[in-house]
Amino acid sequence: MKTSRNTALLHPARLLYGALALALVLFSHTASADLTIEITRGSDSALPIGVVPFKGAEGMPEDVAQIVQDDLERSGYFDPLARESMFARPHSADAVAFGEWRSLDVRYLLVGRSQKTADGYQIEYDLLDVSGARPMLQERVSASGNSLRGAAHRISDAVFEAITDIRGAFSTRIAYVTAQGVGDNIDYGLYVADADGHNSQQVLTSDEPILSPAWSPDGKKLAYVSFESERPAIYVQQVESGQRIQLTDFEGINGAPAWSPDGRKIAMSLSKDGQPEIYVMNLAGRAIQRLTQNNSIDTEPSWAPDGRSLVFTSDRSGGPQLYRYTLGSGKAERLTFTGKYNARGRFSPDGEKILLVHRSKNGYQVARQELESGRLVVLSETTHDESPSVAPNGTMVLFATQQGGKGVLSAVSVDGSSSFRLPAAQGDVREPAWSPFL
Amino acid sequence: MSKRLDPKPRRRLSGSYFWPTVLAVALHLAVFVFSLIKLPENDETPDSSSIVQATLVSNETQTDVAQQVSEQQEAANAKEEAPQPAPTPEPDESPSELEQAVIDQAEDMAAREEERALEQAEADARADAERRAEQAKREAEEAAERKAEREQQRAEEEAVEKVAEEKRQQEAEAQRKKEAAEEAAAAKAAEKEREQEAEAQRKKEAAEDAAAAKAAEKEREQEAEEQRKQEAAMQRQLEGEKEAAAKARQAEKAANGFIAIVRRAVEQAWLIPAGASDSMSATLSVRLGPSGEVLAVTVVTTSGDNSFDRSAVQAVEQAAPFIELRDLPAAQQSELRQFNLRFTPGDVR
Repeated sequence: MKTSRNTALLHPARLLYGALALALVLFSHTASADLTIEITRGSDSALPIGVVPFKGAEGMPEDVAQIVQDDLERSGYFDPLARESMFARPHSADAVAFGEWRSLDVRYLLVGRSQKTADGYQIEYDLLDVSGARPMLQERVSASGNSLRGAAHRISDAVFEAITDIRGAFSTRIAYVTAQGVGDNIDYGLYVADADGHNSQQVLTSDEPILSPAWSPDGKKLAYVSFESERPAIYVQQVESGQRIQLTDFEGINGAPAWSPDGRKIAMSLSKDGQPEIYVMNLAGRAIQRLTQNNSIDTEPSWAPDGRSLVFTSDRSGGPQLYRYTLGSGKAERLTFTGKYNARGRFSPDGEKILLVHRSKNGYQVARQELESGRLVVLSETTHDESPSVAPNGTMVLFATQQGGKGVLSAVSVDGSSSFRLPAAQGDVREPAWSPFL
Repeated sequence: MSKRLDPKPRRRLSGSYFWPTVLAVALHLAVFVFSLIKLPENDETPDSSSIVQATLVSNETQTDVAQQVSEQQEAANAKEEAPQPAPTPEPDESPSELEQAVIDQAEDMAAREEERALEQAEADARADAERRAEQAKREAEEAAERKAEREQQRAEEEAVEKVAEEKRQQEAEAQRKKEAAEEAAAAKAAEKEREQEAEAQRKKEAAEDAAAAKAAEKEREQEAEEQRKQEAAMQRQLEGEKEAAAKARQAEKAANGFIAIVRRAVEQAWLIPAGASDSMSATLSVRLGPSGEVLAVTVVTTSGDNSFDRSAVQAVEQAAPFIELRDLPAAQQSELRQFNLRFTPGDVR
């Protein structure tokens, strides 16, 4: 009896039916799970975000929410909703009606409230994911009346990172050189400002030109070239204290200082042996090491993020092109082949791109070259661009350009999708340098 | 509808069978009864015996007993023969001419016989007187006369016999004729009966045929109806299958339409993060509620970039609810409440 039942169960037809039934069950289950809709199109337009004016902003010296909104907008990643388009102005997550904001196609919402404390202000804010109707971030920052802008930039950084996963660079600073006056009566100034161009401070004034400011990796020092002693010399100056030292006093050109990523060395261009060549100075003993050996001009060195190589400009091929010198190899290889003029190369923080000045048929423009592919892409729309400097998060390139016969600062996103002009400073603005994270 | 119509023809059919059957049975009965009624008439045989008796009357005059006996025997024989003929089906009240002639002849002969007998008696008386006178001579003459008498007797007998024979023959002839007539009549009757029967049969058969034809017609109609029904059913089934196929196509179309709607809506809602590379790809699993609302969005395969993954999730959440789900057939609804979305920024608007 038992055997017969077993054989009945093992009958081929039964097995087949069983297998079919099983297959059906499995397939019907996996079939629905297997339906995959391909999404291959999307918009690269900026993220709509609502930054609602913070509660208590009326009595404060700065409109923190507005500073945040401007930061986010400048980044090119966000497209903030105009305040006049807002139906409601909630100040806390509880008060947010997500449907309203969804109908405005706002993906994120920042609400906050500030109150005065004994030594300044306390600001509390909520970042909300409108699409998912869920809170993303809630933080509290304290600030004195003077540091409200800095507090706003910190909020911007936090919001930016929460949404984009990229560290915000709103709290960083920039350095730049200005020239005011005409003829022999020109005043040169070295300035440090917030990344948005506000809150600028003059750190050096001179009757002679100031060139090539460079931030130390710790963001506390600036190296620059000053002609104040009639000859170009490299100086290093503490930003906060203003204290400085003269680093070089070689014959000829002493130019284009660049801090090594570890902050122990400075690469520079020296012409003490004839043509300008690339040297590296160890800051501890001020010993110099010559890297390039030829009869052409080699200048504008910039360290790779890993510190193992440098990119520099050389006219050894007849015109200015970018070369890469790998430490220890004693050799340099040419990087740029697009066009007849590529100069002032700067590594992106990820070390995969070089930002440079490229002369196109339109003029001198900020461009990006992928190191792997060698493909060069022009980023800026302006035509007298110089001195590109990359933000520490690699999202933007700050550069100097001409507007109305006057030098101004401008920025473009590394992907070229957005750009903004920094607020006009006094005089002719040149040689910008973006600080590292502070 | 067809079910309600069905019993009616059957009832009509049984009704149509009933009366012909009754009529046929009645006809048969009538024919049978008629045949029964006619048969007893046949038993009443015609009185041909009276003719024979007339012969016997003449015989009674005969003195010779032996002759009488033989005559009687013959008569008896004749008598025996007489009733034997087949019964006449049609009773002919008046005897036929032939018979009449026979009878008349017989009567004539009887009359002449009587006459001769009287003459003989006279002669006998004379002879008696003469005999006494002429005894001796007459003795011889008597012998001769007896001889002559015997001869005459014999001749008479022969004549009688001849007459009887003739009569018998005539009677036989008459009988034959009668029988023939009877047979003819019987045949005629039989023929008539047969005809009637045949007619009845024909009628019956016709009726039956008609009924059968009617029934056959009914049957054909029913079959045709059945055929029509089957065809209709088949048609319906075909149409059903067609409809099912059409429905399936429609369902597929609807499903594809829904998928297209989802794709378009999500693509429209997808804000590809700046800096997202072409090589990035994230797959989300989406579970919808009955009204197309998003119950859950989970990252099945991460792009390795949180903001990219979130942009995809937001695109789904922003595009939702997919209320078009409710327009789908139930099967598709449940099928399409769970699907995957693979985000690959191949084509940036």
